[in-house]
Amino acid sequence: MERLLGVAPGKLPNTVFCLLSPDGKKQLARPARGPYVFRTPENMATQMRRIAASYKSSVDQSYIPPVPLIDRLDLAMNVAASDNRPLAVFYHTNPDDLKSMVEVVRPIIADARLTGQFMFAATTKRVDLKPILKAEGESGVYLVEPDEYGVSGKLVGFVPVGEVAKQLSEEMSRSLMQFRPYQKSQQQHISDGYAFGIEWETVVPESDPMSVQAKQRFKARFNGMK
Amino acid sequence: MMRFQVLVAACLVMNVAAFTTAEQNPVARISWYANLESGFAVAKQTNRPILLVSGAPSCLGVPGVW
Repeated sequence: MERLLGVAPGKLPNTVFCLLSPDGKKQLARPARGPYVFRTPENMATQMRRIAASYKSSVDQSYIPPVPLIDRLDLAMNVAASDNRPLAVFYHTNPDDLKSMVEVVRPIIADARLTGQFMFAATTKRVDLKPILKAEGESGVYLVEPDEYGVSGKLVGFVPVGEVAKQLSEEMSRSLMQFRPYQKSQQQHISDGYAFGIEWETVVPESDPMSVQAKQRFKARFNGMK
Repeated sequence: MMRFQVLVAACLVMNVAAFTTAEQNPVARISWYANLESGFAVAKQTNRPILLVSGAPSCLGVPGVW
């Protein structure tokens, strides 16, 4: 990432926004913490359309992209909580069967009504299902609403592996209709997180000086209030 | 863990407003690829430019918020 974005070693900001060529080698917009270089959303959309038009797609309309799986279930739960979205978890103890199930799901989630509405994770380990309340370990797709912190999740739907092709679309639509995102205040969320002792260690150590200092300041203030 | 979000599409609809009621008609959202490898693979396969956003799903060490 540092090389890709042209930042000095150890200086990668904790948020980065960038546009890149399809091979990932050429920057098409200057990397920054956010899309500020475009100034307005309208200008950003115009510039993105212009850039997109300069690359001819190598696939046709029938192309179905792969399922955007998040690497680990605990991380997926956290990402889902952060994005305030439900989560679909594919579970099968056999890796080949799990892969087949994910392939079956591919065209289902390419439906415009479902695109981007769910986070996705896949696992062969039953222990990974532990944070999902009432998950019984049957193979299939678990539809989950994460708690505010993404530490655990409530099971809101389940489709057995043999019924995925027939039932998943309907079950995802149903759970989406009932989904109630949290209304979060960032400051309150962080204060409550410290009070409850809920913290998250990133795998990549945090090196962004601004973020590290802000964390120290906030924690000191919180500890002073206790 | 850093979250790498890569979008292989030209359109952009970003709306993360918090709702208090069930989403009868949820807004259109981006389907993000959650790591560089998978996003780059799709970008190469489709020859579409990449919108890359990286971040950690935690703020000041607390999870559940960007």
